[in-house]
Amino acid sequence: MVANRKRFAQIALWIILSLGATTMLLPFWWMLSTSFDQDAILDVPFPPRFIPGRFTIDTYKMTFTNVPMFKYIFNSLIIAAGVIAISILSALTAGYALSKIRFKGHRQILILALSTMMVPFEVTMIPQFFLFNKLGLINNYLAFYLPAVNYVFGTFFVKQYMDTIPDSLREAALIDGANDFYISFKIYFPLCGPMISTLLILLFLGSWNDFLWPLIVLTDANLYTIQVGVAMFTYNQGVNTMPAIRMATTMASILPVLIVYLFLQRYIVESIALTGIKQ
Amino acid sequence: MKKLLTMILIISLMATMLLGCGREKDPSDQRDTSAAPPIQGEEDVKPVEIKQTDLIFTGIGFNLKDGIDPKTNKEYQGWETFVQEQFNEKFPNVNLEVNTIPWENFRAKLQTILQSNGTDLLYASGSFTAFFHKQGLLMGLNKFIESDPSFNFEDEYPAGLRKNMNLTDYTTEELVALPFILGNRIIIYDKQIFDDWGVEYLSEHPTPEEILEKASQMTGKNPKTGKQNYGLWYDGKSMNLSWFLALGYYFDVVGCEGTLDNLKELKWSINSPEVLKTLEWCCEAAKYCPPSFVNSQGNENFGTENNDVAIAIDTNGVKIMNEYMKTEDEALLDRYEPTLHFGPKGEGWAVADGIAMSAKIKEEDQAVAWEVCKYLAGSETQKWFYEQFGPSPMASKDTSFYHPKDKYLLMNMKVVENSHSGAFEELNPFFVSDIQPFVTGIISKYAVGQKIDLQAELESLQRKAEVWSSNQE
Amino acid sequence: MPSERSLKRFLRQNGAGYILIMPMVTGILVFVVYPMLKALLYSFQHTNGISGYFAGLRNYIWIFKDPVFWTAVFNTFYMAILSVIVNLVVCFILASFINALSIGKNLFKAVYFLPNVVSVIAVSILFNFLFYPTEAGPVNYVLGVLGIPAVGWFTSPIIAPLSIVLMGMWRSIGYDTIIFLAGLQSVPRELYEAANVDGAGSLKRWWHITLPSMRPVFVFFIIMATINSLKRFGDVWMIGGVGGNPGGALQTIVLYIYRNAWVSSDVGVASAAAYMLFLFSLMFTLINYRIMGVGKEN
Repeated sequence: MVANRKRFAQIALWIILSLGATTMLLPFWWMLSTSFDQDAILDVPFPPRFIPGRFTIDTYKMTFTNVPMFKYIFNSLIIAAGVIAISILSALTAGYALSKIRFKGHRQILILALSTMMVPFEVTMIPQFFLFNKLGLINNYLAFYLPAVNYVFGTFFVKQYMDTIPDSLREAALIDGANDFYISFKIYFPLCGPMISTLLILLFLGSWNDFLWPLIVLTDANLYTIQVGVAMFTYNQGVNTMPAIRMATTMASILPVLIVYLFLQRYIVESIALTGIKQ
Repeated sequence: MKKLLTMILIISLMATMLLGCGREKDPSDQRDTSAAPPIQGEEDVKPVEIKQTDLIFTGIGFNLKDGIDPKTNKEYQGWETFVQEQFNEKFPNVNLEVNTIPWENFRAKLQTILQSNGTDLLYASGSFTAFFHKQGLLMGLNKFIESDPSFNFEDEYPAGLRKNMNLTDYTTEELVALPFILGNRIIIYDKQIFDDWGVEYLSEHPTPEEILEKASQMTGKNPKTGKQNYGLWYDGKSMNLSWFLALGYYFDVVGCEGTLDNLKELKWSINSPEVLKTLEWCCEAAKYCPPSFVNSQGNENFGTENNDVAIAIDTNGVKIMNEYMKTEDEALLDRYEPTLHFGPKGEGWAVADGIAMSAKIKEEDQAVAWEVCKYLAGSETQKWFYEQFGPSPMASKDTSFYHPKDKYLLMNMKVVENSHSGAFEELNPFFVSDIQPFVTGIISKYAVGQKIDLQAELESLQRKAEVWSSNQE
Repeated sequence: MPSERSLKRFLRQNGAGYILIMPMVTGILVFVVYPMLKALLYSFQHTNGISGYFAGLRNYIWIFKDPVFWTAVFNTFYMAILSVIVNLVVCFILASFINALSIGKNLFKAVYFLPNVVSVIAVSILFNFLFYPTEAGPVNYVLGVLGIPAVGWFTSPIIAPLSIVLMGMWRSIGYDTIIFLAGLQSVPRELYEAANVDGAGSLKRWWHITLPSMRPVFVFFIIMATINSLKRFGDVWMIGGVGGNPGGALQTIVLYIYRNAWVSSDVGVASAAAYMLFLFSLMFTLINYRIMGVGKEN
């Protein structure tokens, strides 16, 4: 009896959740279908449909000939790679110093760092822009790489993670005559694999989807990220016109992250759960 | 996993170092101009004998590479091809690099580029051109025109454009840009919808009242087709409020007096009965527009077979002409008729985009830059542009390359000819920052049936404008 | 007076630490502390960011009197509060459902999270068509089948903020659900086992054990989600442009900052508005710290 009720509840939950999941996926399907729909090139077709009226790949041909999509994707990857590398290195070294060396003033620095986390980027972006402007670094990816050293969020997680690795490793190595640079890079960083992969995922998604800062510091169309490139192309042609082209462009812009997600979805979901709750 | 992560880190770090830093110029962009073999034997291309010069030309929303026009599915040439195939034949010694910025917030972007000496020539749009000249960012062209016997403005462009606010400094009459393209500023109506409803066609120079009255009769279920029709369409999200300003010509709106080089002394009259009348017209008109007009939508079918909008304001005949050129079917041409605009002489509020020269061009390069500027704004380039990007209203007096049936472009020329401007428009910073959002805001609220005390709103905007002026230096 | 030897010892103990922490500290100083001070300076100037002069409190007075700013503040908080409430309810229920599943947990997590990896820009372009204001819009078409007239999702100033919230929900539902799931899974087993002994039904258990134990997660979620929604920019920029159309209903604080700084080059006013944004989020952060007791451990 109880077992039956349980099974019934499970089936009911499955049905409800599946309906919800379908709703979540339908927009993707519509995007995909519209991007191949010849009848949607000029206008939204009536009635709406979930299968292309007349199938075409012209939309993608237009997207890739009219917009340098590969260049934008490449640019975004270059920016993401640099930001990821610099942020993680900065977070690892700082996290190690805070967790293991406990140098004079480490508490004050940790408090300073944590308190800067409550400053929204939107507040500091104007002076940052004029700083880079003065340095002649507008339209230069250094405008992304340099601020990447300020990664308090990651530092905090690395510190917490390092706290769980025993200090004895360092003490033993110090006695053997190793210095902290050697110890951190050779002993502690390799033990931080899970933390690094979490940060890597978060940084990649953040950098790939970032919009406001690249919108401000990149004015040269050759250097656009995929987000700014797609937004500007859309803006130039009108957001509301030519749905099939809009969807083809959007589809092409999200494909890389969708592929990454397909392969790494378990890690990504776990990273969110891990960092979201402990913050 | 550990190894993999270390690898990723190292590879990304290396990639960053190799490719990322100091990417000021993409090496692939530095084309070798000699690589494109000059086509021999072509008549009437006389290379201009000038010294070797590198120039940068910045456009707005330009297509640099060849592509496909989604509207017509035709291939078009990008600006880079133009430079290779046409420009370099004429100027073999000039290495012209074409860049582009998007339309989004182009004014600030152009300003940054000019300040940082990032360009020599530029595509100057809207009324900011004169403003940039005032700031010392753009070069006045009068001295070049005076010392160039081969160039006569009136021979190349309609004389009315000489004092167009978009091209000329408003206080000194110094020409700052050579006109290239005109804004789309005509009223077009759909005869078939008028016929379906049994409404008399618009007169050749309709008044706002006439338009409102006729639009009101054609909003609802079409008696013939049973489809929902809308009497009117205008761009409820317009950035420059062109229709609002054209209405202002008709209602004698002043709005603001003074000169824009002295913002502190501007006299505002936003709360005047004339502005109220204009705004009331817009709100009344909102009732007859398709609901999505507030987002620049709702006119998608205008110019096609399935149109549901009777009258469209500040539009163009591009869609109609494209269709006509594809099918050669004159029915569509007969169906859509252009008229003059609201102004007493049939004028609308016009903009002309032009080609301008940066004030920072080196002394020794200026003569060459002037030649290039003339060529880029000349009829050859305009012809090329017209052929690649469809029937847009070019500024050249030479209209021989227009499609002979294009009555829309000819009407557009008439509307633009008598246009004039003042302190109450785009050029005025308060107009962009406050009046534009105010007007579009009121309209979109009206469009969903909110009742607003217009006079009270205008009074508060007036006060804000006065405070704004007094805050200026 | 410290001798050379004690200085050497100090450096040996601390030097490596300082060098290793250097990048982050430099980053903080150059990219947070300096800009904060500079922004404060700007906010008291009439400036375009390159040249300017002291203007006292004029910028602050200007924004306090500017109805557009208050519209922006109202809209920002309105959308923030709405989205927090809706997401809290929907995602917590969703998380509870998924948590109760015996098989397929990971499948649903993965599916619901999927829209979160898509950028705000892509989502905005997509929904601009899904929420197309005529009968031809997919969502309106479905409503039409149910006999509901077409809704002006992004064209009506009254509905547009709600549409933004709905659109944002599609994107963030998975993220929030995962946060709640993590919270649910951290509720101590013993509590449930004790309840089982008492013979409590599953709904009762949910009400008496799950909800109270989730309190810190809720608080954390509400504060964080509110702070994040205060920064709303990309979606409203893409849908309504810098004017926050329709009718200024999508004007937000960050859009106001962007507009003043980059459209009308009034960096002073923009910085004053940015400081207001800072104060708002500081307020929420302090409430968060207060409730969560963060900072005590140090």
